[in-house]
Amino acid sequence: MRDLILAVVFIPLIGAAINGIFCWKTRRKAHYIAVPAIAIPAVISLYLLVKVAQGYHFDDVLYWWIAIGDFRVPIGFLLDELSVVMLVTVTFISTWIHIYSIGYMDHEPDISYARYFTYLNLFVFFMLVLVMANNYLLMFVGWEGVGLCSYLLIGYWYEKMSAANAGMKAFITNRVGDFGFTIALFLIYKHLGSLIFHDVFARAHELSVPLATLITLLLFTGATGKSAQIPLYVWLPDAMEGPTPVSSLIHAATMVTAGVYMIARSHVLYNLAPFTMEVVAVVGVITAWFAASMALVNNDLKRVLAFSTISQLGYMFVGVGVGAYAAGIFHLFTHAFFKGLMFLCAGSVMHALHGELNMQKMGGLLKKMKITGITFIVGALAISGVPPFAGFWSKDSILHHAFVEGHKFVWLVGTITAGMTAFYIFRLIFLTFFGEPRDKELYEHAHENPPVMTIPMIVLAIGSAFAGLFALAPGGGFEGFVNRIMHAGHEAAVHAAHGEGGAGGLIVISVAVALIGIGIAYLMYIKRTPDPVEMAQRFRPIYLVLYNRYWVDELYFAFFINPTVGISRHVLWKIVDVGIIDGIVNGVARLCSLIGAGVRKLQTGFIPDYAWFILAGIIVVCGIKILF
Amino acid sequence: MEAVVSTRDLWLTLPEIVVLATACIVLIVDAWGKGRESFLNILSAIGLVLALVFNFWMFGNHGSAFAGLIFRDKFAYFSNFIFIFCALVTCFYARDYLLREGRNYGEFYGLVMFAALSMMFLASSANLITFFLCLELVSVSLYALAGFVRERDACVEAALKYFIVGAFSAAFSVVGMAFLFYASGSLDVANIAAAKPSVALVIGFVLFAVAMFFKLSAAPFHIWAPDVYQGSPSPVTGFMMTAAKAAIFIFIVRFFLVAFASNQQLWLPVVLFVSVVSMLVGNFAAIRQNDVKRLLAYSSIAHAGYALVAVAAGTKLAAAALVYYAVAYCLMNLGAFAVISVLAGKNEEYASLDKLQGVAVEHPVLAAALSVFLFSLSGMPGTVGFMGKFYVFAAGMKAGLYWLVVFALINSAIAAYYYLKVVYYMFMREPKESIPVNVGVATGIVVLLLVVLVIQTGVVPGSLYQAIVASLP
Repeated sequence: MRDLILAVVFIPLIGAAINGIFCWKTRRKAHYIAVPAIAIPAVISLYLLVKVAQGYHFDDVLYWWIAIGDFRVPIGFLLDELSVVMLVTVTFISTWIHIYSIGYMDHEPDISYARYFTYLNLFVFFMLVLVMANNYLLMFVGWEGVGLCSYLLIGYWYEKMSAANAGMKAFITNRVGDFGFTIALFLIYKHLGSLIFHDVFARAHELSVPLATLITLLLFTGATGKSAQIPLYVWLPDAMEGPTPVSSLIHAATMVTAGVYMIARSHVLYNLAPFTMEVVAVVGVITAWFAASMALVNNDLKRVLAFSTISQLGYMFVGVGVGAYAAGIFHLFTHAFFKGLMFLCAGSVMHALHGELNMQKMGGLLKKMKITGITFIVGALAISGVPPFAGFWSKDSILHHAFVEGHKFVWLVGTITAGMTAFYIFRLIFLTFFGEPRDKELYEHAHENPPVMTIPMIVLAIGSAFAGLFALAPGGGFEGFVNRIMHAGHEAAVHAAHGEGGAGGLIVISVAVALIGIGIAYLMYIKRTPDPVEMAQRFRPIYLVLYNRYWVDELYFAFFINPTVGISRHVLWKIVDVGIIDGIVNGVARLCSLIGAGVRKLQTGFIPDYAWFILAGIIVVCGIKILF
Repeated sequence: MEAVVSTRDLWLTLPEIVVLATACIVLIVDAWGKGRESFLNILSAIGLVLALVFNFWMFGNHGSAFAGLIFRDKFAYFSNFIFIFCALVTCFYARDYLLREGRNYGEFYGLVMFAALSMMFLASSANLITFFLCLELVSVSLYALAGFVRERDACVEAALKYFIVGAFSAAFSVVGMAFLFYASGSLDVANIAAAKPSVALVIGFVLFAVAMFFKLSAAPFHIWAPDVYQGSPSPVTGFMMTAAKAAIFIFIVRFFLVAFASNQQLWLPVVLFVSVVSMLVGNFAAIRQNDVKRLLAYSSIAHAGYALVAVAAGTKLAAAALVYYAVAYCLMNLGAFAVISVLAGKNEEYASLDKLQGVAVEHPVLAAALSVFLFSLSGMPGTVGFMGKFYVFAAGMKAGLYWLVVFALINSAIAAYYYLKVVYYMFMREPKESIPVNVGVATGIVVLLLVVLVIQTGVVPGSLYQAIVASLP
């Protein structure tokens, strides 16, 4: 078993190493390495899932990376219900995205093609390290690793200025969050003397409530960076600059889910800090609403999906914030399918239209791209929360928990957001696939993509349709499975929730809200009554605010980036760097080279002078010995 | 005192004898026939691998030998591994370099092995006479090696400078030894350690330490190093920067950290001073270097400074850290110079940053390999260089040398600048001219092996550390 767990984690790394080192050999054949390097772990992880379901657990330190005195840094893995679910999700979704990439990246030059698959494998490797780590430090290694790979992948077309900048933006924004994360780790280590989950959770009750609150808030700061929540979500829309399968990978199965997973993993700490839980739930639901509102008016196919990712992640945080960790993870699981699917579909549209992303230029594509269209609609139904599609089960579970745990405000906002979600996603569907084509030329050139791209889409569409049915599996369903490791604190509440009679009413409300959202989208974008253009005119101020994304990016520029750049340029660079540091460096180096030049002159012939220097050195050393 | 050499003595020095025999065989084979030169490296490698095997076999505490002149303990055998390994790597890949320069003669391999042989004895010497003899044997071999490509002026200059400074430092160590003898009435390390503190002992100590600092190229006794390291043929530079310094570090552990553990106060101020000055001089001078070999020469001065932090700490932990650092230092510098020996091209004309810029476009793998070694030298986590620094600095902290460790950390940060500058030049700059590079099979194998070792030891550092702790005297 130990070997299998190692294999799962390290096979992607081996794949990355082969493609990385021999990129000029593998070239166009890079995927022959890269796809098995992720498909094999996917198969193994299914086996591990079965084993875990039968009660197998693994939590062991493989070796101590650093062991000096009482400071010990372990490398160890943990396999339990939570990590195995993540493991299966990550490897399964990633496999199909890898396959899809073969078709999507076929226009790339040879070496870049190999480079792409190297990054992709490496990305999955770090994600698996993050998920499988049995301690916070190794988790942090994975955490930083996916950050690095996302930087490389988002900036994959680095010749393009906007792509390079987007990569940088993702990286820097995440640094802000990581700052909180690292401090949380320091605090945990200081007060509990270990970073291994097992030890930390066993001794967590020793933490005072304020300290636990501080630690969990800092951890949550890290999560807001990685999982794109307010206020650190700004990197995610720009991350669309990367190749679309990368967006799919980052937004569906890996990277952005890391924050949710981390909180679910740290649930013992979070249970100690009710205030933090409140914060998480509120930030989650506000992010969900906020991002959905920006998606309402955006015309960029991928950006709508990006806002939708932020919004859905908000739901997951609502889940973990109200103590329904399993529901949050369940939504993560279903979301991985339908969001992964929708990005692949968007990529398919984009591929067919030569990179066009503006929905206003599309329309009627369903006739040309049957598979893409139908799978996309499946994804849209799933995210809208229409039963029996996947999103319905998990989103409803989260809202249900929010309601019965007494977070009525959170429930209300979440439900409204669900309606907005249904609206914007069907707006996207109607604009793209229905109605009259608005750009004839684009439409004429459109074509369905080869099976290497459509098959992954079909597979994920099946997942999007049916993955939610795991909720009905015996033994409490998906959530019951994950809840096996959740500590007692909230179990009682979860059970109580299930028994409550009002559940039926809540379901009716959320389904109705979803259908209303779809209906409005249908009226506006198919029937054109009311006409969306007219609506935009009438509510122009609101439209502008939404269209410009609340000017948050501009605000960040005005308040953080420009001052920082200004200080860097005018003070740090011109004065500190050029003036002081360069001054010292140049001065010392000049002094050294002067001495060097002097010595060199002596060396060319006058060995006695050379000897004088040595003698002087000895006198100095002896002098020091005498003085001290 | 028994003058007869017993069979046991010979038995205990089996690895050394194998090295000696290999060196002689290589010289004879080379003298014998034409056309055999091209296999000399394989011949040397076979002999050295055999020596490694014997060394492994003999590993253990066997007490003193040769009438108390040398001491055969685990530590001696452990350090033998380092020297044999360095010689093995150097002999193996140097062939490619020597063929290119038209100097592929058996003497090269012979001299490397003679030097390694003397280092092996040096590391196990229990008597200052043995130590001095071995040190000079090492030096003489290295003088000859430094000037091995004798058509090249820089080489000859390097050899000559090295020789003169070496003679100078030898004089100091002899005077120091004389004082130690005067103070203790013996040249035996154990007896000197037992002597009562006196002025003569202190003078002897300091002068002897100065001789060590010379060999370590620690400031202010470093002025020979940049010229010598830059001028010598790259494989030779790699060898003398690593193995020769490792030998001195091993002896420092034996002599200063173990035998004289109780007299630590005697040399502490001097070590602190030399450590600080070395870091400063090495790093600041390296920043402005244009020649990669010269840059690494200055960086090696700084590294001597870092290592001296462990010497200053003087604990058992520090001794382990120092040996670990020596091993790490060997791995990464051997690798760096193996790559440079290829990239520098014929006559080493391309060893400057200007010429190397953009080399990654044409030779991405070589550039990546060199980057790994440079990252390791700068102490990037995940490489052996990080672990080396970590252990040394941890030992310093435990010994209470907080300000020195902080100073060393700041210096490491400064050093990252010039290491990364090389990487930057290789990867980020547009190539100016194409470098005629011909990677030999042997060099390729060596570079790959060292890259793997640098990363593997950085990711899984425990076993090496345990081995060192277990073999410390």
